[in-house]
Amino acid sequence: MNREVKKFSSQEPINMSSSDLGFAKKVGQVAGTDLNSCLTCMSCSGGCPMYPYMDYGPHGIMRLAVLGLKKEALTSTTIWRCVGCHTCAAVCPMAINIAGVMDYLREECLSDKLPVGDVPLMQFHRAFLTSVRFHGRSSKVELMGLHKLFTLGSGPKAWMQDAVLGVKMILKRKLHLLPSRISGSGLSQIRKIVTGPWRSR
Amino acid sequence: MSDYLMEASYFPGCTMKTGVEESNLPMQIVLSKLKVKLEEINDWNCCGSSSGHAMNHEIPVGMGARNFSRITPGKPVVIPCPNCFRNWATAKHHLENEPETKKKYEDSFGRLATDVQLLNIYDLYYQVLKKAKEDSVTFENTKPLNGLKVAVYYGCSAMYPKDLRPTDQPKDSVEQVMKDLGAEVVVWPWPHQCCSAFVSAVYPEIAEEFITKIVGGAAAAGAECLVTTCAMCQMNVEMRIISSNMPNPMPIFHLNQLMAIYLGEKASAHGDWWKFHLVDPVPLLKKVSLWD
Repeated sequence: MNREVKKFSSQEPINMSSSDLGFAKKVGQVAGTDLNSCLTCMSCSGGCPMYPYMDYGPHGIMRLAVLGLKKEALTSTTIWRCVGCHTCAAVCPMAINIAGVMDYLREECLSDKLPVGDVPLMQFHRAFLTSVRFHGRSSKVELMGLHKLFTLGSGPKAWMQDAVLGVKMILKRKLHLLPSRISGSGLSQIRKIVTGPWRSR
Repeated sequence: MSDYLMEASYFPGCTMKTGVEESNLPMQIVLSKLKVKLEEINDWNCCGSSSGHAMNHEIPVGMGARNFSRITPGKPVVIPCPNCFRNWATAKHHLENEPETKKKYEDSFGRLATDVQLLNIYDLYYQVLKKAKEDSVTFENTKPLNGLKVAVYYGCSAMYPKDLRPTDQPKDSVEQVMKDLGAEVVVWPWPHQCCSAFVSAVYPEIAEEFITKIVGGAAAAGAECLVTTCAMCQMNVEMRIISSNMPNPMPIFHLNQLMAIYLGEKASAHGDWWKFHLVDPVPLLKKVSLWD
């Protein structure tokens, strides 16, 4: 994947016509944090391992949320390329729960049925949770199979990616072919929990 | 009196259950030598992993709640995977601070024993070795890891967020454990660098970039191997060393393996661990005379 040019780096004025100024407050309430305390210091983006591959970076998402630019935030690649490592929150001098904000924004993007900024990564999460809905536990081999199935449209490179390595690891029994599973009654409990708008994407 | 120093519930997690024998087998040996008895939680479920909280914030809390309903009250829970630990701790935080959430799940699953202590495996090792030093307890037949130059690689999940970690653990507990074991711990730039986690499965080129940085940083600091507590990090590092054809591959050990060798297990008797490694650690073990 190519590194992305940051969308806030141009001299163009930011278009505020679609601003929803209640957005920052709502995001802050759900994620249990105060976005208006953001210093715009960019410590979060400095620590973020995925920053080179994001369109805004975590500090940019903080700005979008404070400015109420909801649609830009929810359709960004940044929220999907966040791996949830919590480095941003750990280095934030104002102790903002930035990783929690990313979680909330992904959820909003799905429930508002907006376009997803990075479909293959979203489909990975969907494949994982689908595997959990099958067994109550996850299976790495099944997860990779489901992911290839869900991203069939991505072309032959994606189908063959890591196939040789994957087979090698299965043969070494580094990855077990069969999943471990929970009881039938446990599974019906899990299926009630592991649900949400992601299931129809 | 019980023959055990500690009895705990055990949450293996999906990774330990369906793979990673090379870490699971030595862990069982180490725990029996340290007189810790683990009892696997009956009918546990997945913690939600990275994908649960990425898609719906209720998933890790709900899945954690079901697990909390299945543990033995009063006994600590040992969790070998740092990401599972984080999801457990997140669920515990929400269930303890939001009475209505807790009530909702207690209505479905019965009593939730959220007041138990959660321990990562290295928290446990650190506590045991510290206590042994304080009480001047020595272990029998130990084999110090003299001459092994190691870079401690925590990965991103092990130490963050600070609020969810036990308060009595220092930030460099694994370094301290490795020093107690006699290894030479190098100072290097990337102990908490993300291994790229699930991104590795979707964009291998990003994982290769990250792992090249990690392995290169460790080599430049003089390390001959990495040691980690996270099975996901271990797998990603090995996979991407292979897939990127790195010219100077470096073996990466699980902490459990080095603990087992220190406590007297013969590395040469455990081909059943080393065969799972994609980067063979045996030449290094022979070089530093830890093979026999």
